[in-house]
Amino acid sequence: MTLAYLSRRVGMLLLIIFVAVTVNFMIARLMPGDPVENAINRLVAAGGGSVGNVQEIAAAYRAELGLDESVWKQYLAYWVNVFQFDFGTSLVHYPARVSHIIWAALPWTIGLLGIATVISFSVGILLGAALGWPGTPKFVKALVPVFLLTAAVPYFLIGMVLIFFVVVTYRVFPSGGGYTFGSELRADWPTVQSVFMHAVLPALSIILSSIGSWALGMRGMLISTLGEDYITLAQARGLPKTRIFLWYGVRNSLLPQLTALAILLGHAVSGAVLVEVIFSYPGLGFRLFEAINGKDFFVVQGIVLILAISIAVAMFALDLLYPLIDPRIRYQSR
Amino acid sequence: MTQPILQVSELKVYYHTSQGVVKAVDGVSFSLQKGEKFGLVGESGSGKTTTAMALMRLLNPPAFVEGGHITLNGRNLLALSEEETRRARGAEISLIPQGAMNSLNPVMRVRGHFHDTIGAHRKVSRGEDMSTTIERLLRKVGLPPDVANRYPHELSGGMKQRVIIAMSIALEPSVIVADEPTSALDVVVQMQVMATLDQVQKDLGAAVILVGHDMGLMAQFCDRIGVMYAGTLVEVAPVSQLFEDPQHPYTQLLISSLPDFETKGRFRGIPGLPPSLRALPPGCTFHPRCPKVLDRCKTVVPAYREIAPARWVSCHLYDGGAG
Amino acid sequence: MNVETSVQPATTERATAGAYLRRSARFFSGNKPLAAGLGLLLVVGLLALVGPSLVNHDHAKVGAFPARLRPSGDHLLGTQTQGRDVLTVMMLGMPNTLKIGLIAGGVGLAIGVLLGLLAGYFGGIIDNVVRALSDTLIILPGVAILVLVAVSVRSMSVELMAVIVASLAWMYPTRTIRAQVLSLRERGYVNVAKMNGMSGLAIVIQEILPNLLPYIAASFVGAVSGAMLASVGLEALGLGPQNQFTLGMEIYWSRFYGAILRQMWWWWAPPIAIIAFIFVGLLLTSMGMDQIVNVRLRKSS
Repeated sequence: MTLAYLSRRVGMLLLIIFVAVTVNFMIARLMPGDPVENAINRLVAAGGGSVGNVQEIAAAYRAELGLDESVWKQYLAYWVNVFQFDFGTSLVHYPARVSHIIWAALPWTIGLLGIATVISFSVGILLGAALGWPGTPKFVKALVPVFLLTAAVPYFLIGMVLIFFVVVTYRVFPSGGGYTFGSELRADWPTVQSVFMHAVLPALSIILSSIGSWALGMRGMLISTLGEDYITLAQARGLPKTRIFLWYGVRNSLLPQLTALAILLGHAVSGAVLVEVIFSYPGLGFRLFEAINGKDFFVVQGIVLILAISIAVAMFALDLLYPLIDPRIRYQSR
Repeated sequence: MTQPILQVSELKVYYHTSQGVVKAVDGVSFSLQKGEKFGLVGESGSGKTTTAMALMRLLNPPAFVEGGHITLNGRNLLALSEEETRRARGAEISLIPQGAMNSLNPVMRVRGHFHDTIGAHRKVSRGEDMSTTIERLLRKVGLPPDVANRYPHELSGGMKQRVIIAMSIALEPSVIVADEPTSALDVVVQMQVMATLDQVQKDLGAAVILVGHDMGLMAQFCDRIGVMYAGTLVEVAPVSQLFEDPQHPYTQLLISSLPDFETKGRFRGIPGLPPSLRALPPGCTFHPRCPKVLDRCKTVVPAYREIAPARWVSCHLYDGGAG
Repeated sequence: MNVETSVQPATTERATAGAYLRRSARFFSGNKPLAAGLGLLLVVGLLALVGPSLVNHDHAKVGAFPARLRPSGDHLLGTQTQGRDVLTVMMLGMPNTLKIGLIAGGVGLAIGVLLGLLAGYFGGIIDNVVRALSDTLIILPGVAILVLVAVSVRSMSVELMAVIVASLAWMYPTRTIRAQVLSLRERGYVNVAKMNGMSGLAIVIQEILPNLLPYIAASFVGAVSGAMLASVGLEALGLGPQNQFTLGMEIYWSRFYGAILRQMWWWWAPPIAIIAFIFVGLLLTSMGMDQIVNVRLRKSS
């Protein structure tokens, strides 16, 4: 890994964080009027929150945001706050800190999305490889249209269908939440079991809807890789079929899939947000939805920022992994 | 004459497309002696590359061998099982392909390619032995031993092609098929690669089939040349005789169209266009473009005959009144 | 020195209607995904065009019928909790959903083509800025950013929704077009045009743009598909137009009123089915277009 490659990746990471923070800052202030006034007005209009305290909250906010200062000072202060992981206070659950809400929700999202993505990516790639393998029996290839359907349909729609069939009709899995309602989270067996059971359906809807696109992408890539000159020469050199397939075909088709994974992370998070909503899963997506419905602007802002930064970091990690897999990257910058 | 090492007789390869059958190779016969350098020339679409791929048994659907025999070291290649074919590839008959730039696995070091090639046919001895073998092979094609540790993208086109040549001789095959091995390289590198191929071939004593369209390159390298037109061999002759005294009207036009020092700059070309392989003209496939066309050329397919020692032609001009 | 001097004759086919039909039949039979995808989209498009005039708009009003009727002869898809006829709501929602997708995809494409052309043709600083911007925004979670914007808007309409979604629909087209312009720029005819003293703008419009058409078409399908995904997602979160019918808002309302747990499948299933239908159509179309574009890529390399 060269310094040029590394510095380029770090630069990218910083740029993304910069853009995310700035956009976040600007959107709140581009709206006509005072952001606090606006936020509280929306809150009151929605009939939520502790309406009696409006003036007290507003005053607290103005002081905190330094709204009497110049825009540049506000912007600087916003950066300082971001570095301290301070996103202000919830309007609905005043005086709960936004950062607290985020910390509580983050593990759920990372767990759900991380596991679901790893499973769907690896199983999807394997299935795709099988679909591209000339020796695979015909009935497996009949999966292609099924994958087409699941790949096309958005995550959360599959979630809704799953709820209907599995929860309402068969009552196998709980319909929502992260663990049994009203119980306490402890490190014991029933809790683990309940957390697992609650994660199955949301994870399954993410897996089902993304596995198809991974499989199809891998299949397409593999088919075009198998047409490469180095495959022909490998055959001419008398290499065994499986060796050619795995080390010349699959190995080379894998690289573009990893790039795709990096690019599609944002897409996956967007989808996961909606899946959490459908299953009332207590991750960031669901908190975001609650905040949207409750017009809890600062929570929305904080969660959006955290989502953006998490993706940037995950992508950075993938970028560091990439040169280990593709020798060509070590010497060029993408 | 000794038993030929490779004998191709009446080889037919057809492409079965949705718009009809394409007769890419339609009854090609030739044979190769041990250590002989045979050139196969023709326009694109004349079937020369298809013939080469048929020799390797690397035809992909919709191309199928429709008939004929390919006998290599006394065995009919076309009758071998899939596993036997695999064992023959690389070990008895090896390929130097067209696309040197893209014929090595981009994520594998050069060393790995040699490992794979040799390991596919022999029990590979680990460590020292293998390293010395690879080093020896690389040195043979004029590459420094440290090339073994490089990835393909770190090599130039000429170096890649040398690596491929080194691999093609790794198992000491009796026939090497070189399918336009220098087409993607620039002229200086072309010459160097051809010289390397020539040297390697001399050391090894393998027969080479050089497929190409560059008559100059052919003349320098080959002992004998076969001229293909629309899926058939129209003439086979030793190089000097072919250039000095071409028999088939197509070969004559081909040779006379080459620029030489006297008629410098005058490139005449051959009038007309090659026929569509989907709808070949009846009789001799060359008759619509032939300046010496006879009536019977339009209806009767000329026989492929030996008109003088080592000179084969398929043309009605040499029927000798028999037809 | 080459034997390869002659060129295969171009097959000339008479430009009659019959020949045209035969040619397109052959084209589509060689590209089944495209034929199937365009077919599906055509069905949806026709339904969206004709649908609203076939139904009585009053049937979609609150309390038009008794609530929660199961599907029957009178109400093919039943009624929902507020007494609206589901079939009528679907017919009225479909054009709006498609409208959002088409407007957002179109605007996104226009921005993308413009930026891609600028970046690819002029290079330098413009290229760097455009590339950094599109590479950055492409990996941000689109729905999250859009949520922020949508939350800040006072009242949402179909048109505003389209514009908001379009603001994040231009990155893929930008990347595709930029990459193509970069490769086209190096082709011979562009250099010839340059040497003949053609201005930069004239080259872009006369020489480069026509060659980009297949990529623009493919990008359009991609942009529409991305925009639809984003808009349906926003709507399902309740951020869509509250007072207009769209498929995504129907999903939101059906969830809001607990249609799944009440087993009112006739309410939540139709919008999902139609959306799935549209997305399958879009996916097939883009796969078909990929085939065409890739063949061109292979031939031009």
